[in-house]
Amino acid sequence: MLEGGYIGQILRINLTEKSTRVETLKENDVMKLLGGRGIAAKMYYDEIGPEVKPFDAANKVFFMTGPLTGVSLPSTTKFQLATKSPETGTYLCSNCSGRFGPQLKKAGFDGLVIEGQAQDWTYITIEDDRVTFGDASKWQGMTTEQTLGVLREQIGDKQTGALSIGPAAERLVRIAYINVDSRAFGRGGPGAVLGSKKLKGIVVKGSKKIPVANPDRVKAILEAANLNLRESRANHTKFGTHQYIEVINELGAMPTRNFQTTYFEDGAQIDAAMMKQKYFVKNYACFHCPVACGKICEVKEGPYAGARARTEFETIGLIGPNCGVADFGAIVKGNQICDALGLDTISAGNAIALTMELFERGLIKPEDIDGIEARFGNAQAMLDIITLIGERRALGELLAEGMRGVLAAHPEWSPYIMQVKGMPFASYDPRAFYGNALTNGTSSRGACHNVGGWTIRAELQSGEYDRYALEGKGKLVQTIQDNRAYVDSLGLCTVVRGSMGFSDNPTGDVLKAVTGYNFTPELIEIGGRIYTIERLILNREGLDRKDDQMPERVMNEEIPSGPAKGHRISQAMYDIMLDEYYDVRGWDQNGVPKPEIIEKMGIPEILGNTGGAVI
Amino acid sequence: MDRECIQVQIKYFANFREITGKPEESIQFPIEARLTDVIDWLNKRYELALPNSKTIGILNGRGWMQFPEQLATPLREGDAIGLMPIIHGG
Repeated sequence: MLEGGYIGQILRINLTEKSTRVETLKENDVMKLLGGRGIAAKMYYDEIGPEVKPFDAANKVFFMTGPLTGVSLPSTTKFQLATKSPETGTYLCSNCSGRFGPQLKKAGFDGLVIEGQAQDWTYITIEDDRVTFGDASKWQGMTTEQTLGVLREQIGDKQTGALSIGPAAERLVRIAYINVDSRAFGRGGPGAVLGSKKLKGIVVKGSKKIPVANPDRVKAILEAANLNLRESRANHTKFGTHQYIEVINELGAMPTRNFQTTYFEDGAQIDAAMMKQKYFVKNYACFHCPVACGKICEVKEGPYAGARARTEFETIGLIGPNCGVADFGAIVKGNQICDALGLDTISAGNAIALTMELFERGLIKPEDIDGIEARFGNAQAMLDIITLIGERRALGELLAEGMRGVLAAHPEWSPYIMQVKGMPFASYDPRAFYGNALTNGTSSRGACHNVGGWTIRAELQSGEYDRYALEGKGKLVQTIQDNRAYVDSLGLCTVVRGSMGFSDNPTGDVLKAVTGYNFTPELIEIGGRIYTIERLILNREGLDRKDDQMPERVMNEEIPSGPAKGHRISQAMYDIMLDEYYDVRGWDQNGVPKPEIIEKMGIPEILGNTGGAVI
Repeated sequence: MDRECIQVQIKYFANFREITGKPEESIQFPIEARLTDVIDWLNKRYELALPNSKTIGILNGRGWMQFPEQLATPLREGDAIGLMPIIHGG
């Protein structure tokens, strides 16, 4: 194994047998896939066949750190998850910060695999190499935060890493998240996978030191990066991602009233200035992060007084403007309810907005939704629908099945549903940035602004890519996707990556200093390899070009108002971008990687269970 | 309105709102003004150093550098310019 950055071991915990096993992290996997998202995807490929359903005992949850996770550098809190998603029914990768990843490494493990299904509600403690199983039956119904608290009590350390699920995941709500030290594996419903395994939470504490190859150089990089970040990310420190509200709104990309338009007329009621003026309490920083982009907000007066949450852009956009809600206090409250139940705010916001549109169109009636007057702008209705979903009541029973479930039951509602591969959109309307359509269409986990490659800046700032142009977007999206894939495999937050040279054209010696090996020239190639493996998984599970498409609203409806008025992306327009994307990736026109690109990337030597399926 | 001038709307976002103390303002420029003239005015008036890598400058919803003539793009009556911090994804 390399000189530093890795421990060299993966812990497997089987809930059916209440057994554990330690296996060696393979050096070849590290050299070809780095860690984090890359190795988690490889493990998924090797171990989760297309026949496995999300709630089967055979489904597994792969938690994987990267070489930088827990190392003394800025914001090295990240670790990655892979599992079969209850929301999309296919591969899910997810990224999260918190203390869990660093503590897992300090306990002696680069990765943790959860297998099987417990008979009764269970929690797990990991203290270095000691693993215990506890009875969590008395914790049923606890919120995610309450569960984190009782988990930490089990090992007497309030500061250590823990992850938990809430009541929604216990009920197998398919948009339930995993709370990790008050951060989230948010999308795709991984909380419900743990719920199906009757695993309420895990707490981990380690005492070992994470090795680094060149400690003096790491210290020097840390100091330089901190200096860089204090200046370059000053706006993040001040405003967090709230600063995007007025920007995205002004650019005409803000989902408004279930993506019916893209400019919210009451944007000033919910923007960064309003947050700072009336609701801001204090900043929140992840482990070793000088940026502190988290903003803890509290409602001080009015009907939601006392509500407290760490709001951010996506949540505000989707339970705010997308539900027509202009009351920031209600947004804080809605965020808090989602956290308590353990619900992904992005998918929840989409589900609420859909309900409101269906209600206003007369397609559902008050009696379908517990008497709620589900009109856009009704803040209390927004809050009540969150609870319906989390408790699986009335229409909430169907919404809890995710958009795939909704579409299966009501295919006639398709014109009003914004999703790709069953995953609802984040808080950007792709009609306002055409590259963003390709982002969402080709993301490895369904509609996603991050995994799919966040193009907004390039589509505004670069002289090469006009936001409404089609040509060049395939290459742009591929580059950003590959960048993100390697960053997600490092164990580093995307907000700080630029301070250490982790760009589309990677520079610097961080990985040499940490691991002893200079990965830098290979990073983009590694990112492309990871993305291709993820695509092979999707192909094996039956997904291809037909599943990379835009929802009807994007293709058929012009944006009716605001700065992006008149724009839509027709099938013919989208096909131009998609064809170019497949071409630059070396995939055929059905979205399947060609044998020569698979060979060129050395993928057959990496995947352990190819069974002839790769080529 | 002066027949030899055009009116340009300038919107300030996030930190630029703090720097300027206002969300927007309308400024008159000579009829032959180009984008670079507005940038010069902004730099002088608010002690900025535009363009730079930390700022996204937009003109009528498109990036400054996305016009064929880039910073030399001629301005027209009613053009809307925006200054926003660089954004990194949410």
